[in-house]
Amino acid sequence: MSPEPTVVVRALKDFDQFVKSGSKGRSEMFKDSAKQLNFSTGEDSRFLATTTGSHQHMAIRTGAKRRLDSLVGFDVTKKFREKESEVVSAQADVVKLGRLMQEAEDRYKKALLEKDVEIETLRTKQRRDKELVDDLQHKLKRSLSRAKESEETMERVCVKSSTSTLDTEAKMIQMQSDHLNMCNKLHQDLENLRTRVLTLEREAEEKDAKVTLAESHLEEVEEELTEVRKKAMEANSNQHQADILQIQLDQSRAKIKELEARLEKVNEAEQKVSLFESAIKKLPPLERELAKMKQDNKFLKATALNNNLLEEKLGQAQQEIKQLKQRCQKNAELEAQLDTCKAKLVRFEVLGKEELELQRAATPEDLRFYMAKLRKGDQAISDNIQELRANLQSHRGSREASENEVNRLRQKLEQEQRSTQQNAHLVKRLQRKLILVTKERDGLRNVLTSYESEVTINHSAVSQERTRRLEEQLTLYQQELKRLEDDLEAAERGTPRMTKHTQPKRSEELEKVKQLEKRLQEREDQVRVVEEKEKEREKKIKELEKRVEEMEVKIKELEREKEVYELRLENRALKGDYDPTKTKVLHFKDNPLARAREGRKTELERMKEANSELRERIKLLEAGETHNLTQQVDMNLAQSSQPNKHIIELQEKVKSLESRNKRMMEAFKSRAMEMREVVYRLTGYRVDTYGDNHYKLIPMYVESSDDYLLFEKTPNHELRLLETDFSASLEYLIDAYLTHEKSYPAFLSALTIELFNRQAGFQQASSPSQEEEEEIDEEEEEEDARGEEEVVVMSDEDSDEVQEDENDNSDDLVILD
Amino acid sequence: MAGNKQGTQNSITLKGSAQLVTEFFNFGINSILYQRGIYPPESFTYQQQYGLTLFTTTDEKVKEYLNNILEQIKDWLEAGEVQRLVLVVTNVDTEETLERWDFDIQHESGFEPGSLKEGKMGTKDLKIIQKEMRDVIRQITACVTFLPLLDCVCSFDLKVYTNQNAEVSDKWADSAPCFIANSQEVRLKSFSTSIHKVEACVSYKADV
Repeated sequence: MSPEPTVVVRALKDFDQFVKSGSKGRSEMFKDSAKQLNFSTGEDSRFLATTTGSHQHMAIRTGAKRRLDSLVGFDVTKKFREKESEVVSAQADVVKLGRLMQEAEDRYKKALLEKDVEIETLRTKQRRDKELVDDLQHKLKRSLSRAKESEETMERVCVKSSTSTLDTEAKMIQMQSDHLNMCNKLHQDLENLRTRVLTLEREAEEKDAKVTLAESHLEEVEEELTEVRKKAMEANSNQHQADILQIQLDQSRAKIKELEARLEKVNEAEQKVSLFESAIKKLPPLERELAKMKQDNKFLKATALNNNLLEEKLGQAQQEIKQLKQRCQKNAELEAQLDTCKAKLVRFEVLGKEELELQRAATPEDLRFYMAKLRKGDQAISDNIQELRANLQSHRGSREASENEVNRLRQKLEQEQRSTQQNAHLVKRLQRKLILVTKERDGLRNVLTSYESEVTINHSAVSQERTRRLEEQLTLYQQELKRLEDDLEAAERGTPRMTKHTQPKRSEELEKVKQLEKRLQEREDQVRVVEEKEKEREKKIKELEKRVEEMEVKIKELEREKEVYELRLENRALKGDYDPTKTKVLHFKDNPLARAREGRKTELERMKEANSELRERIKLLEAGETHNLTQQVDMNLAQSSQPNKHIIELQEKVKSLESRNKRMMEAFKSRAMEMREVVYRLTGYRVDTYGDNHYKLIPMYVESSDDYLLFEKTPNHELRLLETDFSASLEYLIDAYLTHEKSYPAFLSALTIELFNRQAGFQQASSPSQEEEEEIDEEEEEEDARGEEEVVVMSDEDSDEVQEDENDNSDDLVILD
Repeated sequence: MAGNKQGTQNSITLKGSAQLVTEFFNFGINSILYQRGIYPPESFTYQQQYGLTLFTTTDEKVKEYLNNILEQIKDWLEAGEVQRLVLVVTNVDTEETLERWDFDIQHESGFEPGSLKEGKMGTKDLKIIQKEMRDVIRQITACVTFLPLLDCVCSFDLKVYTNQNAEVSDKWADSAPCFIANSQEVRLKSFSTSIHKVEACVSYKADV
C-alpha cells in the first residue's frame, strides 16, 4: 500500500514549515513544550519534552539527571559506548562499501558476459545475413542467366516469325493467281453449260412429240386389253364346268366300289348254301343211331335200379355188424367187472383172515368189532399225534429245518419229475402199442366184413372166442393205462403240497405287501401334494411369463425410444450441441470476426461523420454560401460536436475515476478497520486521529471514555505526549518510562498492566451497593469481551455491542480521512 | 534398409498425428475461406498438397491468426484436450451465424487421452491418411454447389471445444457456441491417422 496522498501532502507541508521556521524553531519548540508539558518536578521542570530519536544534547541532559540519581562514572561509560557504537557503525559502513564494490564487480562481469553473448548473436546474425546475401546473389545470377536465355529465345522466335510471314505472303500471291485462273475456267464452263441447255431444250421438244405418239398407241393397246379380258372371262366359266364334271366322276367311282363289295358278300353266301346242303344229306343215318341209343339207355336204367337194391341190403348188413360189435364190448366189460369183484372179495376175505387172525373167513361183524378196536387205538394215537404235532410245530419253527426240508422236497420233486418223465415215456410206448392193437383189430374187422360180404351167415363160435380174447387183452391194456394215469396224477399232486410250508412266508409277504401299499398310498398323497404345488407353480410361471412378455415389449419400446433419443442427440451434436459440464467453447479473442466488427463500427462512424459533414455542406449551400465552404463546415462541426464530445469524454473519465475512488475507499475502509481491530486487540489501545497530527489513544481497561492519552507528531517525525486529565494522573509512570527510559511502548505497556491490575483489584476489594455493582459488572463484561475474546466465551449481546463499537470506530476513521 | 524405411513410415506417434491433423486444419480452413469467398480470391495463393492444388491466404493478419490458433490446437491435440474445432461464418452486420463447419475430433480406441503416455504408435500408411484428407478437402470444395450464396459481408471465427480442465492462456476467451436455429446438416467424409479421427460436417441456415 502506497502512502495516502493526503498524508504525503501533509508531510510536505510540515517539512516546509520546518524549513521556514529555521533558527527560531528550536526556542519556539522549547516554549511549546514548556507550555504543553508541565508535569515534572525539580529544576528541569521547564523542560520535559521527550523524543524517541533525540539528539545528543538531550542525552547529556538526561545524563545530568542520572548524575543526580548518583550513578557514578556514567558519563565516561556513556562516551565509550558512543565511541564503540561509532566504530561499529564505521565497520558496518566498510562492510557495506565492500559489498557494494562486489556488487559493482558482479554487475560489470554480468554486463561483460551479456555483451559477449550479444556479440556472438550479432556475429551469427551477420553470418546468416551474409548467407542470405550470397543466396540472393546466387539467385540474382540465375535469374539474369534465365533472362538472357529468354532473350535469345525471343530473338529466335522473332526470326522464325519473320520467315514465316514471308512464306505466307508468297503463298498468298500464288493463291490469288490460282483464284484468277479458277474464275476464267468457271466462265468457260458457264458458256458450255448454256449451249448444253439449248440442245437439251430442243431434245425436250422432240420428246414431247414422241409422247403424243405413244399416247395414241396406248389407246389402241387398251382396246386390245378389253378383248383379252372378255376371253379370259369365258375361259373361267369353262373351267368351272370342268370342275363340276370332275366331282360327278368321283361320286360314280365311289358307287362302283360299293357294288363290288356287295358282289363279294353274295359269293360267300352261295358257298355257305352249298355246305348246308351236304350236311342235310347226312341226317337219316344219324336218326337211326339215335333210336339205338335210346334202347341202350332203357337197359342201363334197369340195371341201375338193381344196383340200388343191392346197396340198400349192404347198408342194413353194416348196421347189424355195428350193433353186434357194441354187444360184444358190453359183454366183455361185464365179464371183467365180475372178475375184479371176485378177486377183491377174495382179497378182503384173505385180509380179514390175516388181520383178525381168524380161523374162518372174516365177516362184516368182525370187521366192525375190529374197527371199534382200531378207533380206540386211533384216539390214543391221535392224542399222541397231537403231542407229536406240538413237537413238530416247534420243530417247524426252526427255519433251517424247513428249508432243508424244502430242499429235500425239491430234490424229491426233481426225482418225481424224473419218474413222471419216465411214466410219460411209458405212456407213449403204451399208446404206440394201443395203436398197433387197434390196427390189428381193424384188420380183423376187414376180414370179418369180407366174410360177411361173401356169406350171410351168423358168427361162428371160433370167431367169437377169438374176439373175446382180443377184447380181454384190450381191457388189460386199458387198466394198465388207467393205473399209469393215476400214478401220474398222484405224482402231479405231490408237488403242490409242498407250497403249504410257504404259508407263513406268504403272510409276511402279505404284510410286506400291505406296508408297501401303505407306502404307495403315502407316496401317492405326496405326489398329489406335489402336483398341486406344481400346478400353482405353473400358474406362477405363466404369470411370470406374461410379465416377462410385457417387460420384453416394454424393453423393445424403450429401446426404440432410446434409439430415437440417440438419433436426436446425434442430430443435435451435428448442429454443434455439447455437454457444458464436460466441454467449454473457446475462441481466440483477437479473431477476424471481432476485427471485422470493429472495422465495421469504425467505418460506420466515419461514414456518419462524413454524412453529417455533407449535410452541413448542403445546408451551407442552400443558405447561399459559396466561399470557404470546407472551412466553415469544419467550424460548424467543431462547434456542434466537439464540445459535446469533450464533455462526454471528461464526464466518462470523472465517472470512472469516481468509481475507482469509491472502490479504493471501500478497500481502505475495510483494511483500516481490520488493522485497527487487530491493533486494539493486541496492544489494548484504540488509536484514533484527533485533528492534524494528533493521535488519541484510549486504553482498553480504562474506567471511562474520557480517560485517554494524546500524542502529537512533530514535523521532524517525533512523537510527543500532550497533557490531558488522564496523563496528569500518571506522572509516576511518565517519570519512570519516559523521562528516564524514553520508551513509549514500555510506558504504554506499564499503563495497561497498571489499569488491568487496578480493575482486577477493584473487583476484588470493592463492595458497593448492588446497583453500582451491576453497572460495573456490565462495564467489566464489555471490557472483558473486548480484551480477552480468545479466553472468554462471549454472549451474543456482548459480541453485538463490540461490533457496534467497531463500526463506530470505522465511522470515525472515515470522517477523519 | 528398405524394410527399415517402411517401418518408420508406417508408425505414427501422437505428436506426428497432431502435426498431421493441424496441417489438415490449416488447408481445410484455407479452402473454406477461399471457396466461400470470405476473403477476396486475389488474397490467396496456390500450393500443391495431398495431390491437389489448394489455395492458402496471403493476408498477413489471417495468417498470423491461423498460426496462433493452430499452434495452440496442436498442443491441445497432444494433450488430448480438444474435442471439436468449428469454423463459424457470421454475417458481420446482423451477427447472424450462417454456416458452421464442424471438425469433430475423436481418439481411436486404444489411444484415449488416459492411455496416451505409454509410447503407443499408430500403424497407418501416410499415403492412405493423405488420401483420406484429400477426399475430405475435395468434399469441402464440392459443398459450394449446394450451400446458399453468401451475399453479405461475412467473417469467420474458430471455436474450439475443449475439456473443462484444459489449460487456457489469456489470449483465449469463453464463447457462445453459435448455433444455427434452423439448420440443415450435411455429414462429410472422415479421416483417421489411427490415433485421431476427424469427422467433418457442415451445417447451414436452411432456406425457409
